[in-house]
Amino acid sequence: MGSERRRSIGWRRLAEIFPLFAVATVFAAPGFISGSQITRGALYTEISIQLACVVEYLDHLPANRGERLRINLQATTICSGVSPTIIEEPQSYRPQDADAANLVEIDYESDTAAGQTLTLVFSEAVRYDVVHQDTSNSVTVRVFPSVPSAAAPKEISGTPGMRVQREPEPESSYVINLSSSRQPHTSLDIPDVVLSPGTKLFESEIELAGVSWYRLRLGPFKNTSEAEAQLPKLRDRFPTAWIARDSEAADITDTNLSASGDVVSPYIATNSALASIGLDQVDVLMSDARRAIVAGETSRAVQIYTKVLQVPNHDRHPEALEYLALAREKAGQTAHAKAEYQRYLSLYPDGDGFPRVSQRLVALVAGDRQAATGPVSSGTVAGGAPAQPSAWRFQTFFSQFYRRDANQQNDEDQIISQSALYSDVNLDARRRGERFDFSSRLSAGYRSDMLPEEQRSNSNALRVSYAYADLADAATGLRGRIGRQSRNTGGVLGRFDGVNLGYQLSERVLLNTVIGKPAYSASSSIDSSRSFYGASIDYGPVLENLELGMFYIQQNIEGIKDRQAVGAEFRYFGTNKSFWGMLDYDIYHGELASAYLQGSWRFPSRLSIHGLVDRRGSPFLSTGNALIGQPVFTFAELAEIFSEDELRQLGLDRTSVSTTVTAGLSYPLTPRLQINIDASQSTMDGTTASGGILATPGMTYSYYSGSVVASSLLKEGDVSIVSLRYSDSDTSNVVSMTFDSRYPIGRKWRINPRIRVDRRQNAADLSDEWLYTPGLRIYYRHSQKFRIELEAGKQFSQRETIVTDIDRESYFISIGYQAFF
Amino acid sequence: MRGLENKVAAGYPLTLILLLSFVACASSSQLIDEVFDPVTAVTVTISKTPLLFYRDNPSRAAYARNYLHLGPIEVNRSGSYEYFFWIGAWTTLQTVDPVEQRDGLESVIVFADGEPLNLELAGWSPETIGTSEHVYVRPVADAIDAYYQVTADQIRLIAAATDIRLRTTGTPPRTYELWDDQQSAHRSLDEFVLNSVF
Repeated sequence: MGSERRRSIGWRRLAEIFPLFAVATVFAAPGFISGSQITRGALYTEISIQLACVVEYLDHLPANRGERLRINLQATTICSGVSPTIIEEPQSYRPQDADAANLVEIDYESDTAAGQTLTLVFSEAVRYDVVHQDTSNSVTVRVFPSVPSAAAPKEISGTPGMRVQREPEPESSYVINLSSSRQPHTSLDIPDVVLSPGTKLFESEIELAGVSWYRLRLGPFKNTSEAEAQLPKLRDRFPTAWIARDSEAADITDTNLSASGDVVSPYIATNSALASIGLDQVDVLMSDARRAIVAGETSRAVQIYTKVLQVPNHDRHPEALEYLALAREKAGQTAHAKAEYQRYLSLYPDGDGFPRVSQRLVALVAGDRQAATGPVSSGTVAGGAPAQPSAWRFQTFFSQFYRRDANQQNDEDQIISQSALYSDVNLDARRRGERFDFSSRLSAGYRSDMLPEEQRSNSNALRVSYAYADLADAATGLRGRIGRQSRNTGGVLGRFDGVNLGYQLSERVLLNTVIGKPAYSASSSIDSSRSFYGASIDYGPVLENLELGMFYIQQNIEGIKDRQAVGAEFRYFGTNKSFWGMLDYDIYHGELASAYLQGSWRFPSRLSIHGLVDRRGSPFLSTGNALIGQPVFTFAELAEIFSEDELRQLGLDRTSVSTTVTAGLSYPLTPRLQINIDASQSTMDGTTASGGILATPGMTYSYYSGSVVASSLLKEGDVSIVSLRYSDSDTSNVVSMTFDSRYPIGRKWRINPRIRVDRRQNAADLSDEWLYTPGLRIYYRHSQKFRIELEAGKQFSQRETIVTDIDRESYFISIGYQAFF
Repeated sequence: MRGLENKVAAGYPLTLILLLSFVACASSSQLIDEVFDPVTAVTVTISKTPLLFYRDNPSRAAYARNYLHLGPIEVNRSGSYEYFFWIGAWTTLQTVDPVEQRDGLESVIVFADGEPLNLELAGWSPETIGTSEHVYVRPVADAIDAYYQVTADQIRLIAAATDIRLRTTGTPPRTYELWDDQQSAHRSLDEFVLNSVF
């Protein structure tokens, strides 16, 4: 229903305001040519031909001038809403407003030697560009208007012994020849130069020794000195530029490419009517264009933005150019849109919209590739500039945080428990190809302990979270990744070193195989004792948004089965409910290793309820758990003592079973005020004594919490939370109250004062302890690529035992920055 | 007094009708939802299945994770369109104070095939996007809702990406990885992009 409204807004109003511009309208046709659109611009008239099926552009003849333009295509069977047999039906079609492009008709033939052919028949010889993509369902032709040369010879007819009389030479008769080419300059070749008043950019065509030459020129100038004054400014860009008399071009035909003005945009026109449009009218035009684009009238929007760009001397050029590109993109004129985006980036490298336009261009390139080859990555070159599809792209993210913790008991000396600098870097390198996409990633961190050597509890540590290379083949649907990586489905328990191969069997079926060695910690090196392999299949979506997955995995440790499991997973997201479940059954140990079920349901009354049941081994069930508590360092040593069956049983005995049941509800009292209530109970079963290891008792833990969340109390974006929580375990019970408030200050600052008060009653010594923990977080965004964050807090505790009172103070501070480039 | 009771009594059916109409007006495709909020008179389009991100805490337990859901929102207010991302944050770590789950969500960077996109928090409540209630279902009761205003192009860029990561701020920052094989979520996002205006 939203789209209908979009289409209904603005059309009548725009037609009233711009009756003269109403030349670009999309018209439908019944055959292979499904529609057309003719847009008259200042530089050229554009014919956009919509086709019912996706075609591959082959070539066109003649190259750039003629009365009949033949475009050879190879049609695919990818057709929108029609049978591919429509390809076989010839068609003759005359677009509405064809005269605007000197177009007589468009003929479509299907059985030519070249495949399929579109022939554009013009009423006279015209110069044109054919704009195309390799594969698309549209073809665009730009027709340039021909302007007779002011100095063209004129024949006096009817007199024998013909005498050619040249018209009086205009006062302005010098030009600067910027470049010469045997091919016409396309609209994308138009340089961005500052035009002095009265000058224009234009192209001259001249025939020399039977060869057509096209000259890109700037002028006219009244005399050579005026032209010479301009020449040095152009030499950097056009080193071979030279000054010519305009009268030299006695036999040339000129084509205006832009006209006088003092703005760099090539869209500027000399049309005095446009020049007289006031800035307030530009604002009106921009508003109308915006409404047009929202209403879905993208061709209208293209017209209006083009018109705005033709108006000189106003500061909304960048915005208009950006939105012109956007409108073209929405109209499906992707090649045009790319050109406009690139022009924007070229013209306004320091503009506010540069990052945004870069992203749009990247998205457009990515979208094209996705349409052509399936989902693939996009890219920009380093520095954010847009890249060609096959370019390498590098991205670096870097952060450093310093953390300091200190505590003090009674009047004793302060102890610094931590003083460390955490540095993290993430490097991404990608290269996209027509068929293969390559990406690699290194994500690592380093902890520099800054305490004196004798006080260090942890040494410096290197963490490598990810280090992999990934290759995807769009043609076959295969994807492979090798190195340190992470998976969360298929029975894999997170990070591992190995290989993962995926194959998209069909639109809904994805196959995966994996082989590797687990890396449970980013700090650990490759675990040589354990290895695993497995396979999984994912199917979905089915029944709306239900996804299913099944897996088999086997992990060995020192040649003995560590775990051998089958499992399943499902996820469902509906409009008002969601469910997620996982099951992992260890067939080697004959035990349920993990089961997880979570659901959430929102009722029409806005009340949401949620429940969660989580049962899992703790630690995760594996034969390797047999090593827990044993007086040996490696599993290999243990395997020399116990048999495989004994080890399997010991692994079971050391694995406790943890079960958590949680239920909660949330209810919005008002859009700004919400209440949440949760209750949870966890039990951890005890373990049995075996293998020389004592039994451990079971434990229970439960909590009940409620919170009130108030948003936008003082200003948009703030939030204040008051929460109360009671937790009860075998060792203590704690009542906690938290007040947390977060405020944005301007666009770059955020502050977050908070305080928490706990009352803890410890079962071991029957002590009563109060803890007060105020804290403050400050966030500052310096730029899009750099941000700073500070967090500091202090804790005061008073603990009263039967014997004595203990006062403690501690504080922490963490400050750091993030940057990417 | 009785008049007041009558007004209150009369208000319940009206509220009920409004709330039911919220559901009744929901026009859904298989992959996206378009609903009309009768209280604020805006039409909201969302993808049915948000993307799921996770962060492992292997030192705690194999399945102890922080989760983030990321879902696009189009808000149509009488022809004026705005775009947002919703993030729903929650955790299976019981020891984490729910309040602290908000840390770092004020500013989030989404890496779409390595391309960084800054998401700055617009607000925590549905009022931020102009609706009377949250448009996505919370996965758990104490999940954090956060809204970020974005452009349709940012949504499109994320939809076109195959490798998406999410990094929060906070001290230290946290990186969330994309949950594997979310075909429904990717297709919902694609459908959302195809149906968005620009």
